[in-house]
Amino acid sequence: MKVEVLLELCNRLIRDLDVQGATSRGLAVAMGLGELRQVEPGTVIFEEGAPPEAVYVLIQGRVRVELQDSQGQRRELTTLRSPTLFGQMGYIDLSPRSATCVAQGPGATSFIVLERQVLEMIFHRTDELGTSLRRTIAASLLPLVGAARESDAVDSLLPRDPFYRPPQDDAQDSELGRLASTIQDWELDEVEVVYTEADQRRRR
Amino acid sequence: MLPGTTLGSRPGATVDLAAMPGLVDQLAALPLFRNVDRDALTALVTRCEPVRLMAGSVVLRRGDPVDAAILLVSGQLQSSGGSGGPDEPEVTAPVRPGDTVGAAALFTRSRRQDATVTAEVDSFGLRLTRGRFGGVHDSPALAAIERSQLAALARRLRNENRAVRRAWKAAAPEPTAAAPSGDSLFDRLRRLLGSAS
Repeated sequence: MKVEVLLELCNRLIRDLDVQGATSRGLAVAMGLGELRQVEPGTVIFEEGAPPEAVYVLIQGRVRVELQDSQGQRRELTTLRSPTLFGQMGYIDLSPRSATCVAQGPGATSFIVLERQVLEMIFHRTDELGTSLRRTIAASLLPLVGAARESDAVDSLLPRDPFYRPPQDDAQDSELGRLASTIQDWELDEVEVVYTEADQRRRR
Repeated sequence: MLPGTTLGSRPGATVDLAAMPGLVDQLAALPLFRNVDRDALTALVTRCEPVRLMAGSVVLRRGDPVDAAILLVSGQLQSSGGSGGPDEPEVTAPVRPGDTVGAAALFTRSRRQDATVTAEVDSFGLRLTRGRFGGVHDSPALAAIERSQLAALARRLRNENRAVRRAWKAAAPEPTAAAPSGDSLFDRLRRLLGSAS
């Protein structure tokens, strides 16, 4: 894999999420340990109530977040645009998925899957890697506060958040997708993760 | 931080540990720091600015830019969301020792404060400025604060999802009694329109 491509992806993620104090190098180590996947529009990535086994980094396309109403019907809560993270709430509090995420397109939706075991290696570290991951996850959650209240499905049912900032346009989607497609072998081969004793204990 | 709401703090001030005996003990007693050693807590407080918050003072105001988070060490604050106007009821939540307000300053470069925070009683906190902590990667105490804030964010979003579900449920039409057998919507339409066959 070209490390430069991964670093560029991380740069954009940090910039677009406005992350404070994360480095693309630190984030790239986490992302490089993930698996790149591409799915067609309409594919359910995970369902509400499912166990939270991974965090996803959306790098191309959109993801529709849906909640089930009291009659069992799935209704759109919000739509995520690349680049961002999703599925991170379950990783943090170990609760079942609170919503269903569906690939929306346009075109294929690409994302990196970061399995829980991989994240555990990095999330608790007190170094550049851990800080970059924690802050990026937090920065991806902050814009979701109030987002549901802006949803068409919720409309006037709940008071709106006057300080909610809608996402910017996603003109860069195709550029991110182009970058992702240049990654031939999604294996980290130039950045080494050094595990501390605490990491090793956690792995056991 | 609004002017006039703090005592004992000034920009760039650092905690004089000699003048605050027991501060590290206070921090060590917080569940947030149960796995953090005293050296790491000492390192944290030496980077912070102490803030004394007088009862009734506004600590952070919703919509204002935030350049620092405040870790509450003692006392109690109240966080208020919503404008409080007729269309937007105010939602309040207590902020207790170990909680952090203005945490967006730790995670993002320009996000604004999303709730107004006032001091319920005379309180004491540690101010973590973006400038001093933004580039810090090796602090176990800061990592503990970050993890705690992530958990708080996840709780908040789950609560929002629950509120959405409740709102949908409240807005849903009352369930109607099932139509008698042989009198389905299709049957009634067929009677009205006649059979196509």
